[in-house]
Parts: sequence; structure tokens; C-alpha cells
Amino acid sequence: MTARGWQGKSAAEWVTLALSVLVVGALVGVALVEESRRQEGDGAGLDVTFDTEQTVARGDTFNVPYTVHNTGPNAISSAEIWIDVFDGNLLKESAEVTVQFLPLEGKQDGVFVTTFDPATHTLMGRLESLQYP
Amino acid sequence: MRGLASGFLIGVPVVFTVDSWWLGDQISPVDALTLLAFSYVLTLAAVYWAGFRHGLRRGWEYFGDALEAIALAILALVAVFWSLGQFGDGQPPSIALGRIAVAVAPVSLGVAIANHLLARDTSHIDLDLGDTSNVRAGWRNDGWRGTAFELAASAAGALFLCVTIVPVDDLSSIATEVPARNFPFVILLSLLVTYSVVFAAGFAGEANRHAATGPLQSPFAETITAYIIALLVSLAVLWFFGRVDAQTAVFAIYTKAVLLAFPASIAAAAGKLAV
Repeated sequence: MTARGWQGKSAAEWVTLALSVLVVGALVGVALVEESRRQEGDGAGLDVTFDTEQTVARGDTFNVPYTVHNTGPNAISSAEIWIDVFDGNLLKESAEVTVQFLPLEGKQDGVFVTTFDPATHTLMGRLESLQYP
Repeated sequence: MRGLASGFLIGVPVVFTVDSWWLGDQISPVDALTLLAFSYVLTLAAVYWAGFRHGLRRGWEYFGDALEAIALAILALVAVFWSLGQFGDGQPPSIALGRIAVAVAPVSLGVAIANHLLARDTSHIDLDLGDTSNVRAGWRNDGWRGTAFELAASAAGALFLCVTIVPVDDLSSIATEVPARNFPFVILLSLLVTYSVVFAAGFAGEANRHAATGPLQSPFAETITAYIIALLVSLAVLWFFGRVDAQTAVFAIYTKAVLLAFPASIAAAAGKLAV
């Protein structure tokens, strides 16, 4: 075997090294950006949105797609969310939804089944409790 | 290419453990960077002692080699996770970051020890001519007997890996997370990596394989047969451990078999090299 100095590095090896620096640098850059975004986030950010336009009526019930989005600075191992259905200001129905393993910025899609038509009622999600990993 | 092939061989079982996915989902970006730095140190040690390239290196060149091994590992993981539908498609960057950070160490170590995991050539090895495997190695050029010998070696390699993955049943969880449209990509990646391991990575006997004229011994045929054997072994192991049975839906069998055949086909290719 022979010892080779840096002068012996071929053009291909230089290109490979440069691309490697780019790849690893990109990953480190993503980590730093994500960390700064994480530190800017509030304590317990969890959004629940309902896609009422995609509601499917099945007999007497309505299947309403919803998305739970972790907008907080930490991954979530478990979250309890109450979904309330209002007719004006009058609470007509409440149901609990549990979400598990929601990563940073992670989303969980689901379907909420209710007997009240979302076209004439208002659906709201409220956070009951959170557990972190 | 040799590094990538070796990295796949070592790291794929970790990628196919859904706990490593969940761990990657939950760690913070700082934890991911710490894991990446730790992986770099491990890889640097492996590169220094085992040697990533031919010949002795000097000083900072080891640092460069370790960086290349880490970069190759990252690219390999991006390819695998992308084919499994886990990157892009609305997934946040923190998930990709975490999953790569958790799996990068075994893959980069595999890249770093590519020259030692499977020999580049066997000329430096003092062969024991009485050794059973060396006696049987002569069958390789013996027409159908040689082909059957290689098929058996592929099946053994695939079986070796399948029995380490199937008992923990992470495949069921992974299968539910992979979009149906991604399975053709998984098949394509399996074929590509299998071909690379046997014919493009420069492992021992590659020139002989290109020159072989026996039945099923063209590069295309060998790649396809290795994959089909991996599929069959995957199905057999899934059935043996009760992960599929006569009541299982056809699509569920298809998803589990295709997913398991990915690491199994790489091991099947390695099995060919072992003989």
C-alpha cells in the first residue's frame, strides 16, 4: 500500500468530497432552521381543522374529515381533544378524540361522525390535555 | 456504488423497524444533530481502522472519507424513505431529519466498512482448497448445477434477513404507512440495489459474473431471479410466522411481500456473492 498526499486526490474525488459537504451541510441546515422554528413556537400548539366541504352523508350521520396539526415546539406522544358541535351558541354534541405520536409539525387525519349536519352547525375542536415523549 | 451497496446491507434492518421511525418522529432537531455528530465520530473510527478507500490516507483525508460515508448514507436513506412515501407529500422536514438521524449510523458504518464486509477481490486470501465451500465453488461454472447452487445461496441470504425482520411484525405498521402508489418504486429500488450489489459495486467475482454464460446468468436474469427468490422466501417466512394466511386480503399479502422483499433481495444478492 502507498501513502498518498492531498496532491494525489483526483478531480472525481474532489467532486465527491464537495458533494458530500453539500449533502451533510444541507441536513445540518435543515436541522438549524427547524430548531429555530421550534424555539419560536408557543407552548402547546395544536390546531384542529374541519373540512366540512368534504362531508359525506351516510343515512342519519355525517362523516366530517378533520386534521389535527401539531404547531407546537415539541413532538406529542398523546393528546386528548374534544370536538364540540354547536347550533348557534347551544352545545348539541361533544365527543373526545385521542391522537397519538404526533411529531413536530405532524398531522393526523381522521373522520368525525355526527348526527348534526355541519352545513347548519358549527364544529370546534378544543384541547383537553397533552403528553410529551 | 460499493459503499452504497454495503450501507444498504447493514442498515436496511434498522430502516425496517418502525420504532426507529417513531423515534425519529419524536426527537428534536438538536437531538438529530447530536446523533449525526455521533454517527460521524463512529464512521471516522471505522474509516480510520478499516479503510474506506484503497491505500493509506493522511491526516484530514480520513475526515473527508468519513464525511463521504455519511453523505452516502444520507442519500441512501433519502432514496429508501422516498420510495416508501415517507418524504415529501406534505411531510414536515423535521420528520425526514429525525428518521435519517436515527438510521444514519448503521448505514454509514456499512458504507465505511464496504471493503471488508464483502471482499473487493479474493486474491489476497490464502484459500484452503479442502474447505467445503471452496470445493463447492467449483460448481459455479457447472451449467445448471452452478445455477442451482447460486439460487440456493440467494434463498439462504434472503432467509437469513427475513427471519430477523418478520418475527417483530413491524411490517404491518410500515405497510399501513406506505401509500399504495409507492409500491412500484419499492420494487424498482429493490431491483436497482440488487443489480448494484452483484454487478456494479465491484465486489469479488464481478468480472466473472459479467462473463458467465450459464442459464439465468445474464445480469438482467440474475437480478430478476434474485428478486423473485427474495419474494418467494418473503412469502414463505411471512406464512411461517403467521403474518399472512389464507384469510389475509390479497393486497395485504402483496404489500407485506413487496416491503419484505426489498431487504431480502439485497441479502439474496449478498448470498450470491458469498459463494
